[in-house]
Amino acid sequence: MNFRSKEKPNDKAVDAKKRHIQRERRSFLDMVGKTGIASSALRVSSLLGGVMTARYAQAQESPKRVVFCYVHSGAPANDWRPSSATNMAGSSYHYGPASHNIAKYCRFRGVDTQVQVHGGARQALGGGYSGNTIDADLGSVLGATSYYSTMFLGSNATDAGTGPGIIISSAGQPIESPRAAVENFFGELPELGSDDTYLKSFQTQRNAIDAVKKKLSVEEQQRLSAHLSALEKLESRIVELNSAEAPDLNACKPNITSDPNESSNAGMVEHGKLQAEVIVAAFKCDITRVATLQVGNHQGGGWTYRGFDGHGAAHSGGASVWNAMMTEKFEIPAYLVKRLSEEKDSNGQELIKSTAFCQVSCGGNGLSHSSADAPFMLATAMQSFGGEQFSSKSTGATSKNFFAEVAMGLGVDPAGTDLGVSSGADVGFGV
Amino acid sequence: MNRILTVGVLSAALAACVGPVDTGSSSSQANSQTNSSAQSSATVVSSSSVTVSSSSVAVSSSSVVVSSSSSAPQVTGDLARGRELMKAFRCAACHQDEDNDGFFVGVGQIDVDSFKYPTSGDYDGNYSDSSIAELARFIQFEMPANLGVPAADALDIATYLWALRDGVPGERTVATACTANDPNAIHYGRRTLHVMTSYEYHNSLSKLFGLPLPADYSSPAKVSVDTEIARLPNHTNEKLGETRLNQYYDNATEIADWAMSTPGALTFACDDPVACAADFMNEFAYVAYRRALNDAEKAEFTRMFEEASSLETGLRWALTTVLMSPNFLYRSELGTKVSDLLANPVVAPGTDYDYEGTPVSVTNLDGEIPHYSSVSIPTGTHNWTGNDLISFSVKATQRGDGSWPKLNVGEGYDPNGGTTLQTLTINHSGFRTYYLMVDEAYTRPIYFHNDVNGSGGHNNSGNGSIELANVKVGKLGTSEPVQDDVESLNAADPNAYALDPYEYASALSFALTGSGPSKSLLDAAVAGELVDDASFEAHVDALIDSPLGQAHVERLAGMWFRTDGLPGETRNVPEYTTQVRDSMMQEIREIYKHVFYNGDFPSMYEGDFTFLDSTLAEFYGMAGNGGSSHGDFRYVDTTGTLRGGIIASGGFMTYNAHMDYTSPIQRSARFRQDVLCQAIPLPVNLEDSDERDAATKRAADRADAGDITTAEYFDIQTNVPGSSCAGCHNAIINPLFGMDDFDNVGRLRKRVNGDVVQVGLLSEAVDEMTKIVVPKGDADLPIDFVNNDGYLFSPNVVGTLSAAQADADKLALNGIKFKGAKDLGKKIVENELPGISACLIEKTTRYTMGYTLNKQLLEDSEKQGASYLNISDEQEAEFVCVQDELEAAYAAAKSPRDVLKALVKSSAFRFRK
Repeated sequence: MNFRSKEKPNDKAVDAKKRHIQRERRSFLDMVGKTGIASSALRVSSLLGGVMTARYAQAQESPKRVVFCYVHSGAPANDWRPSSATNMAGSSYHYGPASHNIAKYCRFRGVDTQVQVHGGARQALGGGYSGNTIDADLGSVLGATSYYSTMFLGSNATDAGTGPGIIISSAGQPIESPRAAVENFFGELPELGSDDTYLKSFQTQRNAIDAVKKKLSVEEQQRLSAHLSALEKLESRIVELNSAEAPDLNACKPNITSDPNESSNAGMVEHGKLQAEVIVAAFKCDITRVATLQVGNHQGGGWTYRGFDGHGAAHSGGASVWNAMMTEKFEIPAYLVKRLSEEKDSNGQELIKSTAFCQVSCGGNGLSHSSADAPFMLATAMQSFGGEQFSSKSTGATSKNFFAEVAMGLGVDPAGTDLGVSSGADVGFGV
Repeated sequence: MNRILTVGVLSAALAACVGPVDTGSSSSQANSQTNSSAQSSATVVSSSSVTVSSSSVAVSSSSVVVSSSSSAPQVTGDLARGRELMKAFRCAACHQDEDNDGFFVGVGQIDVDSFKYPTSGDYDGNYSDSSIAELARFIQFEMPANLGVPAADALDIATYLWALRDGVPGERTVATACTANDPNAIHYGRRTLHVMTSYEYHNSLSKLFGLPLPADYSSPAKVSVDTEIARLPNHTNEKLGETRLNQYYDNATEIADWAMSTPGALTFACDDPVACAADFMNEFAYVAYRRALNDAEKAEFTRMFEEASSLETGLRWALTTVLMSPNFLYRSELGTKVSDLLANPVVAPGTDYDYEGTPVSVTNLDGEIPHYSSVSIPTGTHNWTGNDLISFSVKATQRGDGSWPKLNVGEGYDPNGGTTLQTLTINHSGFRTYYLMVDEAYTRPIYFHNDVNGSGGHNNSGNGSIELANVKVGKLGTSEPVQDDVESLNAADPNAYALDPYEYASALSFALTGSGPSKSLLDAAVAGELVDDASFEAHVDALIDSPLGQAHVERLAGMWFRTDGLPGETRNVPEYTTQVRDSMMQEIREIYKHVFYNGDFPSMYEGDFTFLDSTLAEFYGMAGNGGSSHGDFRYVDTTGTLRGGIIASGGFMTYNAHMDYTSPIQRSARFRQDVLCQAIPLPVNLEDSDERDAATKRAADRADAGDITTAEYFDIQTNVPGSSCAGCHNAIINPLFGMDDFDNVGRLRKRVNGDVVQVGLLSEAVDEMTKIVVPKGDADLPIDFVNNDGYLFSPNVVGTLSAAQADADKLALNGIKFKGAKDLGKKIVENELPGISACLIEKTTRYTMGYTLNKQLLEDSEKQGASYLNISDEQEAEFVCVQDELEAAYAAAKSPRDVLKALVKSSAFRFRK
């Protein structure tokens, strides 16, 4: 069968785009009304101006961004939190001057995850077996006008399974391949064609979702609501990227054409660093404002150290293996913070000044399978958190307290998320 | 324990007699009096009592005294606060009581009607089970894990626990027996809406096109990895979020481009909008949606074709729409309300044509008709009456110039001298069925002629081929309307749901092949063929025996025993090559496939056979057995050897090992989990202690000397008396170290004088700070755990196995003794352990339906996630009956195939609530 080549956009398509933007704007305003987004965050919303495009022209204020970097199974007891920005503990070597030297941005904290490593990895992002994790909640607010609400990448995340007790985010499954991540987020989209048939397509899909939704219980309807939201996000993205004003994603597309060889430990670290590069590139291009990187998982598989995988090292590797393994893995969050401090957004400002980087975990010390004193850390130079500063302390706070303070620093009321109203100990971020 | 709980009632009158009730949040007044059995500060309750439901202990007073039939009034704390404190202290990490029956399972089993305190040296308080105060004292000083809790809190918790007593020891048993034993009783499964798994997605896509897909759309490069529940892909609760949907969009556009630019990919012609839209809906969308489109959907697609600026645009977006639609992406088993289905049956009135009696099938005509060639129905095949019917299925490949070949059907031997009755343009690459009524009593054959371009001559535009199948001839009859299974529908709860014939066909196809249904199965379903038992069985067997069905069967084994995960494992053994690894993975699949199709499921644990290709035979030291090349797997009798079956296999032993040495812990734990479906409590709060440090040092010293076996190395460090580690390692895990007679790449260990031996583990310095152990120690160290027999304690448990029960069974020597891995497999079969069939049923149901029938086997994410993932009491009662059906099916021939067929034949498969 032979078909004609594609034609140029016509007036119908342009009108359709306008209608679409109006619908997106209405839903955005509706969403804003239901959440606790701060006015400063609203200012960066292009939707409020009625224009979806030309993100690069929005120079009043950088968007607020957040990264969650999970490293599994906690950290060796008394071996992670440094005593000063220049005096690292054993496992935090890579944050210090001898390595990536980013401790000056870091608030190291010991918090209680309320789960003891096994079972309930979503607690690492303040969630449970139902409801949203914090990345998903923040994605719907901070990422309301970006192409993707969230970006979830993995490095050795799924090697022991993909159940909700192992995968930390409620936003889906992580993309483990850096090359695939680039293709997914920076790949070229097909043209929409010369008319508004694509709108009929999306409307047909919406109708189908509605029809299925009617057959479900109220509780299960949430699944279809998520589908609908994803569909509308997709529609708005392809419309904008097909417009003349669309940014050139090639300008920030990372040059990753193959995945590293993960048969060595160096290869695994390299893998994590490449995923970090994807996140940094996405922030530079403002295609997402919420990113999650899951490094490892508490059940092991894949990434081994001296023959022990993450699970085996925690159970029976002993300190000689466990401490060294975690030191190695902690290089990835340290590297990611460094890259955020080096790269600039479209406003010419270092990403770290608009990004809250959160290092999280699912337990305190993997060796003892405890929940207390879990290695959490906030790295940022955002003014809402007091700018660049170092601190380090154990707290009586929970991981949920940690996320509540991060959310507040980002201008989001945690009461509007599945974290609920914040209560408990002060994590000490000064928000 | 009963579900009725007796608690004291706070009597205002009595309270007035003894003083005010303490309504504060603290019960400190009572704390200091833990040695007294009756305190003046506490409220005393009369012997009058009421019964309340124990689904939650509903007590609003803050301080009560519990009345016991066997003891005097006691000092108490705040019951309600105690219940909350148990949550706050996360006691459930070790003690779980989800049905509030006072029987706590987990690492630390508690029965409130039979308090037993640990007897090890760490718990030396001489606690008695006589009073709340004694229980409080134990909690205060020993919980959690010897850390202790404040006295006030301990008393409140003890009060709560004490209130759960009802004098009946043991776990509540409700709905564990099927009460609806009538074989005709209708049982109800669960309404589900699965997002297709990646495997189902790729297979279902493949069914839509006439050519193999351009890529593997089940790969992580094309679609998100699947979410797993109980280690099997499970999307019954999956949300279709942005990442997955975006990938579906990318795939849809890619596939649409490919299909429109690749001749033969689409199964229908698309030359004009009207015909194309009709074929698209009737051929493509019908299979994709797994049902006929409704009027509104047809109108939407018609507009899409008719109003698009070009046919290309219309078709492209129509294809994209279908491949993005929830009607394609979700596997719906939601059903239709029974009353609605009775009122509006979906079963069609059949075709417009039917035979009188059974037609003659002319099977020798099946196959390709080369261009300008003919095949014919010979004279004498049927006595033509002048009122006859010919039916045949046919498909074609497109010609080089884009046209489709023509098929002439006529009377005679071929067009030369024959009479053409009908000329058809075969413009579809998928089979369609045609009917031809014959109103003359022919005496000559009936021919089918591939006339290519209708010109009768050759040309150079490429010659489209035509494929003929399923030719039937017979006397024309009257088409009779068919009915759905009205009898069952009438017998069912009218408010329940039943899968309509389309959903029924779809559910069968996904369950048995991991793919959406074919067009022919959908047609058969709507023609009522799933109503008739014999026809239903034929369709089920055809699905199970199809290539996709067989692939689906063996795939389960690879996931069940985890061996499909071997590519993620590395082993420091040069002989363990990629080819060896791949063969090990396939060995497990072949073993299960064999018992699935041939019966005798337990034989795969008895282990007197395996399947080997040349690679594996050589690696196992069995060269000459099995297939003659790599990948050529053949049955091998292993009777009398120490190898064979699932357990004594390379795959199981290698997967459950470390890089340099074995993992007897993983072997033991996964044997219980995967073979017997026992759940081992997860380790939490592994407290450091002097004893553990000393044990670690003992193991390290032995490793420094190089005289320690792998099993000993792990046993010394884990089975530390009194530690929380010992909870699992004393009786559950370590006695199974007797399976360690295979090395870390699945080779049988060496024997010396009848003893199984290994090279000892030796500490080796990696750098100044780090030592690791490697198998470079003493040679020929006897492995006592193997040579002195292993034990499987608590062998009959299915579901959660508590440490307390296993410890008690060990003390009572309630276990099965075995020597080596293969012997363990034989012993569990000899003893007919209930876990064998229970686990087969569990894996089969989870794999096909997406949920368990056994409440004991629910995962945490199902118990604590969305409510529809849990099993209600009502569902449990239904599910137990279905389990009984499956157990009965299993008992006949111990055939996994029988179990699977019984599942899809169960009323619970079609009827849902």
